[in-house]
Amino acid sequence: MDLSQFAQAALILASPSVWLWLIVGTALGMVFGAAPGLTATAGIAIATPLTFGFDFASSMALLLGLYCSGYFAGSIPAILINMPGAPGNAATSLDGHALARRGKADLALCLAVIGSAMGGFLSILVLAFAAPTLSSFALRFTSVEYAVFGMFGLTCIAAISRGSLVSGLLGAVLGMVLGLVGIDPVGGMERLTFGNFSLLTGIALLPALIAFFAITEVFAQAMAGQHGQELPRQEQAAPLAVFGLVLRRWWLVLKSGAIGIGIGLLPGTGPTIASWIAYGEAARGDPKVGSKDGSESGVLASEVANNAVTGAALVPLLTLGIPGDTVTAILIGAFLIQGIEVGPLFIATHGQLFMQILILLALANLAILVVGLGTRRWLPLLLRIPQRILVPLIVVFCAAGAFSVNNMSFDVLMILVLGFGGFVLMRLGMPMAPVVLGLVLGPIVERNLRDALTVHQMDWSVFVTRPISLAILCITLLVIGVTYWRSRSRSRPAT
Amino acid sequence: MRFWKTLVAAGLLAASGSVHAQEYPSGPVRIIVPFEAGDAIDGTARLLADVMANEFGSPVIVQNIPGGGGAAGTAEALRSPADGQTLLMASTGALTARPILSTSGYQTSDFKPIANLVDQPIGLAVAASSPYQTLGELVEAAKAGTLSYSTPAPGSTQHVSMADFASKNGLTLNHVGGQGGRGAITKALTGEVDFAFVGASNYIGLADGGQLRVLAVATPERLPFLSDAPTFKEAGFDFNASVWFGLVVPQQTPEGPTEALRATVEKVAQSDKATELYEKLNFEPNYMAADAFQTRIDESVEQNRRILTELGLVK
Amino acid sequence: MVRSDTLLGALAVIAGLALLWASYFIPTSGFVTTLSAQFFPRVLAGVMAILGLLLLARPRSNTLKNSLAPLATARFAGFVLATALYLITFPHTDFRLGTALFLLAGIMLMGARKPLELVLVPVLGALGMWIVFRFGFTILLPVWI
Repeated sequence: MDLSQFAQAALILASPSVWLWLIVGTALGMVFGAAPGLTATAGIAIATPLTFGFDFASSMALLLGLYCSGYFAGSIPAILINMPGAPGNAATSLDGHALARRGKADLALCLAVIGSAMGGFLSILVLAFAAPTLSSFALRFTSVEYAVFGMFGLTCIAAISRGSLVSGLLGAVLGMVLGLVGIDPVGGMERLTFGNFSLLTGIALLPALIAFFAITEVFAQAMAGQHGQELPRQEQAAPLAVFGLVLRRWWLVLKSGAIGIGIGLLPGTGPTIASWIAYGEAARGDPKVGSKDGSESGVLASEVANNAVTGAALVPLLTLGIPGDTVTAILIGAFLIQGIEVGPLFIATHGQLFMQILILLALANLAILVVGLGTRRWLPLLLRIPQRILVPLIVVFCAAGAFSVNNMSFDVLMILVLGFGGFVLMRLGMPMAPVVLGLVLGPIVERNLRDALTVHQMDWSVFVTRPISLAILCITLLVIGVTYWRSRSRSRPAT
Repeated sequence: MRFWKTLVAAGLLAASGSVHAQEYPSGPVRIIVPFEAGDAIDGTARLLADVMANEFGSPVIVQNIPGGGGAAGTAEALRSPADGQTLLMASTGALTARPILSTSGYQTSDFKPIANLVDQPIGLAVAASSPYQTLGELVEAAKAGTLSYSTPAPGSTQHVSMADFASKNGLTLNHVGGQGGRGAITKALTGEVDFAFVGASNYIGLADGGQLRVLAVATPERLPFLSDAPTFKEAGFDFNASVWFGLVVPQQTPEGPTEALRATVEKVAQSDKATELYEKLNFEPNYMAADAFQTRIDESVEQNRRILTELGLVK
Repeated sequence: MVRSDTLLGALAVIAGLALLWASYFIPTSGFVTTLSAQFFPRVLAGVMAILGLLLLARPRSNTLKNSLAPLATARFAGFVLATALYLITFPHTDFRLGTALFLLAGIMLMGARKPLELVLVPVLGALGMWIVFRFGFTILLPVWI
């Protein structure tokens, strides 16, 4: 790291417009992240043309502020009303909302804020000091590795099945079946669309997320009626105490951060997979994660991991010109507008701009802390709205959110069908989280498995002859073995 | 500050929309992009939307409806009211190959042209570590054995035209979709596939950095931004391929709005501002008025039908 | 007593068989030089049926009556019906009107009775939501005017 370059880059801090756009970006990110159906990706796509007339630092301040806070903010509705604002916060809702049910929404929100900022800072360190090394690691991942990696991701099902592995697995398979619908990504022909052209797009993740989390929750509330589950009085949490609580879990933070960073580095993945895997890993260490009472560790793991994706996803972008997730794909356009071609030469020739990005990322994560901790006091006020009013309002928000994903009227019907179907299955004892996980991972496993066999001409042995693939397979088997052994030794005293 | 200006403009427009119902546009205009935000075609649309909004004095909103290799968004544009308020940013593959390839819910003839906007020439590249130094060597290898390559998606123009090249020259090639141009390049960089065949502007950074070698571009002349790369013609193959992006509206759209749109797009697409921005994004601005664009669409359909019939892929 | 898991398992077996049947109608493409588009659906169909059989063989104690009886109340059915009507008519109805009507029905079904609430929540909710989406997110919701 070149200190004189750093000092020069730090001069952007003297520019009021940089601060202004950083704050605007953070605020927009909060709104886009928290609203169902809208994500940081949509926010950045809308904001990018606004940066045409900006200088580089202001443009990055707006977009990176939006990026970081957008990945965090979906946790707010996830915790308060069990409705993740974005797919990357779905894992947060499991334990986060369970904590809110026990009057600890404020604690969960503090954890999400602090965890997100910590994940963000960890990923900045990686981007600053190890970007070139790590980008060569990312280039060792081919379809073979992605396919086995997707299978490894499925081991999380055990953690999110809430006690019944068989019905959890069934949920995941259902999710994967839903993921089959649409144009086959390998052959390009329609599949299971039953002649319905709207289904050609497939079942998109955002409407499915709204259906399986928010709509099922709405129906559950409607079933319970006004005698149902008003949340208890919420306790205030002291941010300093929460900091202490987080620091005592330093190993979990590092582990989840590493998972988020590793997944951020890999093109074509993103915060959703990162948070599920970190959550699954936390659950293996702490049986309280995923239980009815919820655990601090579950919220922390998921939120550290999804924001650790941010800096790491910039690594392949800034070193190779290859985006690490959907947001960074749009950032390429923002760079080009500034006359900058991102690629292997970017850090060498635009060292000072690279430093500016690092500084702005650090500021964006500070902004999450300040804005998040500053506003969290008011957020649980949302829970003061009586259920009889809140529940119908959530339906309206879901409908408008689902409609706005693609402006497709079909997505609105989709949340009705999937939401009601999901609710009945939930009543029959099928957990909903594995369905969403299956919908995310199923297409990744299938596409990469088939692509790998295309390239290697149907030679299945590549999965064990390539070292990274073999290693992931071994870890997968180990995790399955340990999970099985633990569940046996745990159930034995009971019988 | 433009953001807030747009908001204020939108507010005023909503308030006054009914008064000026006769004039075009009578409300916010939307451009449907049938691909993910961040793709080249999306950049084209957002850039044009910005310039058009200034011209109209009313918001022009870009909507991404990705999926099905562009089929989903294209079908959605056809389902929208044909009043000129909804435009489709059409791409070669989605508009002219998809309806031949599989059931898609629309025909190419369901749309009429506004204007062609930009072209994206296609190039062939290998990783720096690849054994192939020239196009000739690569072609020989693909005659002797099986090579693999990546394009943005199955059924894309890149895929269809490379399949055509392979069958004409007796090559054995296996295709892998890359979920977009940059994803296809990644597959070449990791060594997973032998080469990538995507929009040439995607290669610039990596070629300059020495991680990729562009073996050939499928254009009549060398490209200014990749001047080291020879054309297919120089290597002895008569082969050109490019992707175009242009605006179309549903066939039922009345004449009034259609003509108004054509006039506006003619003006803004050739403005200095639009040209400058397109060049920054490494697109080749290629404005074509409606008639010329229609001819080009017809040619693409004919060509795709011929190739896909030869390959036995017509539905 | 019929168990919930028995129904869930039966549904899974039926769905697995249906998927297996449907997989034969998936068109295959001449491009593909690998596992066909039918492969993965068949694997999933098999796994689904096996999981269904496992549930049938060893159902948990929860009974069907326990899980589904609370759904058979008039209020819940009313709420589901209101939601379904709202979502089905959503694309064709002016957002502000449709939302106001749904909010009125929704809060009444959830037990709201105060006249002030019955007026204010639908009006403010519908307008507020429209303003947020239209001007905050610049997203066009269906409107008539």
